[in-house]
Amino acid sequence: MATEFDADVIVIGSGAIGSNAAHLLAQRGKSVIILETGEWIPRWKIVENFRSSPRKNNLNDPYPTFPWAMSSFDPDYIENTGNFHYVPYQLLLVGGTTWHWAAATWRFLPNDMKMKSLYGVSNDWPMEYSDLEPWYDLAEYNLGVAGSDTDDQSGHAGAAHPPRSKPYPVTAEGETYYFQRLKDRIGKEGYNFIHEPNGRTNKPYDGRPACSGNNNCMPVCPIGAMYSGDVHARHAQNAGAKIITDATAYNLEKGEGGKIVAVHYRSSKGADVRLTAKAFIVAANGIETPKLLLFSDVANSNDLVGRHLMDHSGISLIFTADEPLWPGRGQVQQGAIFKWRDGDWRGQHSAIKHAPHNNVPNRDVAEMLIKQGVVGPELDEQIRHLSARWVVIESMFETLPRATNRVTLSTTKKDALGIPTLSFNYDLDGDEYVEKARDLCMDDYGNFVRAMGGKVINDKTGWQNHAHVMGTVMMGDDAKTSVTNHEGRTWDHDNLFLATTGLLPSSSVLNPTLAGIALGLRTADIIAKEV
Amino acid sequence: MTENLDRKGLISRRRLIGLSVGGVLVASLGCLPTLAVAQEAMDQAGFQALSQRLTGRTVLDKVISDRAFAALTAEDAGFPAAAVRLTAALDQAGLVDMREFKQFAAANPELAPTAMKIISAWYLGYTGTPEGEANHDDARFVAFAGALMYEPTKDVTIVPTYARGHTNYWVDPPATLATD
Repeated sequence: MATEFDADVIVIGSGAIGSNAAHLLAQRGKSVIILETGEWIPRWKIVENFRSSPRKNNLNDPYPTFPWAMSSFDPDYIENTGNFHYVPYQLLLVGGTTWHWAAATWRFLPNDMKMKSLYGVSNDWPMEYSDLEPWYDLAEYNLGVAGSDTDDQSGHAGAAHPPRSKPYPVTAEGETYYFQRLKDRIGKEGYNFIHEPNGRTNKPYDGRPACSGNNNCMPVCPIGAMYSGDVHARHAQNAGAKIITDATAYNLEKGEGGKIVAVHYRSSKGADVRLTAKAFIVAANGIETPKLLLFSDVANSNDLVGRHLMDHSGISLIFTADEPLWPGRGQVQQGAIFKWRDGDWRGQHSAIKHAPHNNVPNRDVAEMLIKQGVVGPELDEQIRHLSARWVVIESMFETLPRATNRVTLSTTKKDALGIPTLSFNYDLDGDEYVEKARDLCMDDYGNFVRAMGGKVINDKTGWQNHAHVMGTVMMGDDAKTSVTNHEGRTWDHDNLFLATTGLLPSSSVLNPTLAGIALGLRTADIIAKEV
Repeated sequence: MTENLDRKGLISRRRLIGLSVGGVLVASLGCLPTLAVAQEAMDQAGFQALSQRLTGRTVLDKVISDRAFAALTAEDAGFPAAAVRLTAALDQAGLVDMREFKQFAAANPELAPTAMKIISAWYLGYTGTPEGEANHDDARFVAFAGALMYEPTKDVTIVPTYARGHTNYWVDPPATLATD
């Protein structure tokens, strides 16, 4: 008698990575169920939550938090044992955390995937760039990525790099006046300004409108020009996938022969449901994915799940230039400044990506002035004068995988469903690899300020979190040193796949989501041939 | 009760008129302390008038004003009484031009923070201290698009989420560049 399953494939998580993978599987005629802890929430509600919030600087604030689906900004959800207070920023709703990213969609360079063999640090990926390239293409076309087909993204001002088999689906948007001026003056000092490929389409694309410069990519694009995972959650649904919301997966049930036979989920209304499938994809973010594996006690025979947490820890600079640049017109960020992008020195210190931010600066400016006691006509004059000249540079560093930087289950706290909350240990203290880069970064900051005739407002920020979660369920070539193989297939269970940025075994300095989506699509293609 | 509110409303309107005509202001100052003495407790109209004085605006939105008053009172039950004392002290000092606020603040160190709280609520659109990475704090919403911090740049940049331009408008500098 044939075994009956609830679905061919169950995807846990409806974010950009899970939804893109589910969509591909549904397109291939597979029956697909997506489990999502949160709910469908219409964009207008999130926009209104943002507009009526007193904490505009808080990226999670417009999004829901419930006792059974807690925001990572809930102090009851996150505890930290390391010196760095790590907060992962994940969102629990259909579409996931790409509701609030700035949609930076870089490709990793071929060299980024060979850190161990080229530079003797970090890890090699268990694949070549050319293995992932077609999936990068598909990911970019799914997201409507706008990019330059001529930039050398390795920062050496050479020919277009990395190689691509198709042009970007959308041409790069026009450069803001702010970016033009920074590029003109700082570029003369030997810094390469590169357009940042981004998922903020600037022409109508797949039902999304062109960006009109709402300057609010984070925490929410009010018009959906910026890609978010709900786009492909809808596409997956239209292609036949079933999305079950208010469904928190909490147990992956092991069966004979190392197979996963079922996933169990709970709802806030008390339902406890068991679903079977031929294959399972956990696409629940780089933090929630290891949490589910740890609580289910699966895929962890080598005790690596949750370890090697990497982020692009960084620092930032605020200064005022000697000319009006008028940041705040257009998207919140547009490009990168590269000097330390790729080279033999990567054995010694982190690569660095500097990103000029282009937010309307009035709040930061006015907060500073009021704190200084500036009032009356001078307050209005200074708000205009400084807002015109305000420059923010955020810099991200490559971090190395350290087994002690990890996420584990809390031993003291549980959520309303009885599932343990999260505990982090993240520490950069004494890490010479990033410390050396920080010194170089400060030299760059000095050059930027000088080139712009600037005055420093703040260049002593300390380490900052960028919530680019990587490494927590690392892929590799060896079952002893990694959690999955190059397919995202767990070494311990041949029908359990992971699709998350947590797979990335080295971090580079690039926002990892596009790589996560490309890997997830590649995994879905492999599964589609098996089930 | 109604009569009382109306009377205070009238006082506030008179004060508003006094502030709004600039040049005539000094002439009307003489009557202000007398009027202020009549105000024993801060009400919404009195708060709005005080706000106009502190922000140098002749017109401020009443809905935002009421919200700011409620938020500041919720944060600190002593706020209304402090606002009354502040009003009286401003009257006493004859302060009508906020360019002279520094001297007033130096002379009235216990009242200056109340003035700054009111100015801050109007400019920033919130009271309290918002947390960037936690969802529990004492911040309260006052205004967004109506926050005064956006007024000085409204011809050049937008209030986020309220785009007025079209794709790629940002490649050109604003028309006012030469005088900015």
